[in-house]
Amino acid sequence: MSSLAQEPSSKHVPTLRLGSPAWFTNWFKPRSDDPATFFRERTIRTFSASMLVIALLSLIASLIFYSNSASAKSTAYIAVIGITAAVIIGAIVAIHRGYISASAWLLVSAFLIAAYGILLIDTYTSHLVVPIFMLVFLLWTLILPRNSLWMLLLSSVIGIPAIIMLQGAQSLSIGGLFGIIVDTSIPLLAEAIGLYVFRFEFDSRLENSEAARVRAEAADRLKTQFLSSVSHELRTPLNAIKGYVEIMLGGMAGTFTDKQIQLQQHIHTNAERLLALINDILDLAKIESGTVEVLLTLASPRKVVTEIVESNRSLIQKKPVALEVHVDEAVPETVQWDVNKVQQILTNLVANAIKFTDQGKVSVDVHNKDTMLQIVVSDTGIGMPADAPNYIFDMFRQVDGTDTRKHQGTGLGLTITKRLVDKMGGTISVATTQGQGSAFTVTLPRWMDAATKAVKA
Amino acid sequence: MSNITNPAAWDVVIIDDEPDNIGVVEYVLVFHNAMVRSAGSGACGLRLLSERRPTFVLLDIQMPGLSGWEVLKQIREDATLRDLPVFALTAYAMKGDRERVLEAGFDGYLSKPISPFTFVSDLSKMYESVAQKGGNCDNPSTVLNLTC
Repeated sequence: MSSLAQEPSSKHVPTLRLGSPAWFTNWFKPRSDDPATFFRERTIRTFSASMLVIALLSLIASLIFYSNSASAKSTAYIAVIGITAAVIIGAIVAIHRGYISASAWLLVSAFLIAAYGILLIDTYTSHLVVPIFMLVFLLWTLILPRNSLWMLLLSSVIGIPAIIMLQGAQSLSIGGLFGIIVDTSIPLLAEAIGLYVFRFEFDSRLENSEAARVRAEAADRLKTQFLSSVSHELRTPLNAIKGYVEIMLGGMAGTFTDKQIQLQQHIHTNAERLLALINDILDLAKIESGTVEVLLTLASPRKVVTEIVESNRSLIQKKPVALEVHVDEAVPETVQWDVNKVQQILTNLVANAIKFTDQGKVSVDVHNKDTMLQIVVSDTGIGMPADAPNYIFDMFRQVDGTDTRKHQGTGLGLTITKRLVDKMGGTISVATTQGQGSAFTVTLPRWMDAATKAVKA
Repeated sequence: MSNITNPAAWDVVIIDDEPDNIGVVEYVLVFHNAMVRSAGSGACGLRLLSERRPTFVLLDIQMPGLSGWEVLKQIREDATLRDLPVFALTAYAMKGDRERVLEAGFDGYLSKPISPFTFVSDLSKMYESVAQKGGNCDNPSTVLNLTC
């Protein structure tokens, strides 16, 4: 089997889980966008599914258990469990249709029907009142709209003693009744207050974090807009300066002395440097604000790499530097890449290598590395100090001030390169020896998929 | 030199809201003896076009008021201007913008900043390829003679 044919399958393996059909896992995923509702919806989905399973199992069990005795009690049990299951199914239908609050109320009702039903049928279950209602309260706190939580308090004070009185009225004295009321109401009231405070705190934290996220997004958008409009405003006059100087340099405005032409050339060079800087800053701002999208297409790595190298050949000018490309035989003919970004990454690295190499050679090697593709751009140039790899990808960092002046550059090229590589789910590293050259290694996935797209640079 | 590739036979309308962009382009074209009229807005440009049909139009895309897309749409809807070559002259420098511009119905694309060294040769290459397309009979010299 060719390595190419393996690619698509290896891409899908991590998303498969044993024995979990898509509809089943999808059921638990909330559809809501609002974070507060999102949490409630997930709780409802999880609770309703598990409660339905429990209710159906107990229905089957009680049908088997009571099949021989057709007493009033057993019929009541089966009826209570049956109604509970029906209400849960109602809750499931409601959440499926998107009615979150309605579903929450139905689910709470199902719990109450089960709890009150069992308590009314069997007097001996009265010791379960507190734990059962604590469970109901917990569910209630998690899924009901916050403005209906006051009912928690009400039911804990009125509902529970009422049911105990119903059960115990025949057998208990007034004092005993009062004791039971206090015994059940106080823990339930305490729990209800605790849960109410918890829910209030939980919701306000969610709202705060949501508000902070919205503010941060707005600030980010503003920053990007500001940068792109500023860069447009900066570029327009700068392009005019460059254009007019080029008119003079192109001999369209009469003849000039050599001295004047030299000065015009200085203006021109500086305008170009400033333009390059503005373009780089804008690029970086776009990547940082996450507005850069990864656009995947099928491409031949051999073709992409060779084209980039050839288009940079002119940068060698008259230096005795050889420029070589080697693409390993095993490298597949097709990969899924964002070609523009790969081009930008390679152009930066190759142009850099040529810039810092006065003699010898610059070579680009492409080979497979596990499921990734490795591109090594190495040169026999001036190299960098041993600690350079620690900071070379930071903004505005070149190895030292003298180099910055000798080898003009914005100091942003490698930063942009690294951000682009990150954005595509790859890695970049550098090995270097002062005076002997540097080798930049870029490792990129051959198949980028939706997971890679989600990576924010 | 044929009339198509000879800038001296061109009658050009430039529509751009940046006076300095117009300045450089105009200077270079005038230097090559082309006839140039320029407009600082889409509406003003359309008026120039209706006064006299030019050889071709250089149209900026991002403009306040009527944008380049809208100006192009109006040119294409006008029976007398429908087949007029319109070249986009814009700062949209991203890849893919080129395709978007050509899809919208522009006849060609020059990205800003223009280079005075190569501008005229780029433009004449572009105009030549449009003029050579089959069925297009607007010979620029004829147009000039008609309007003069």
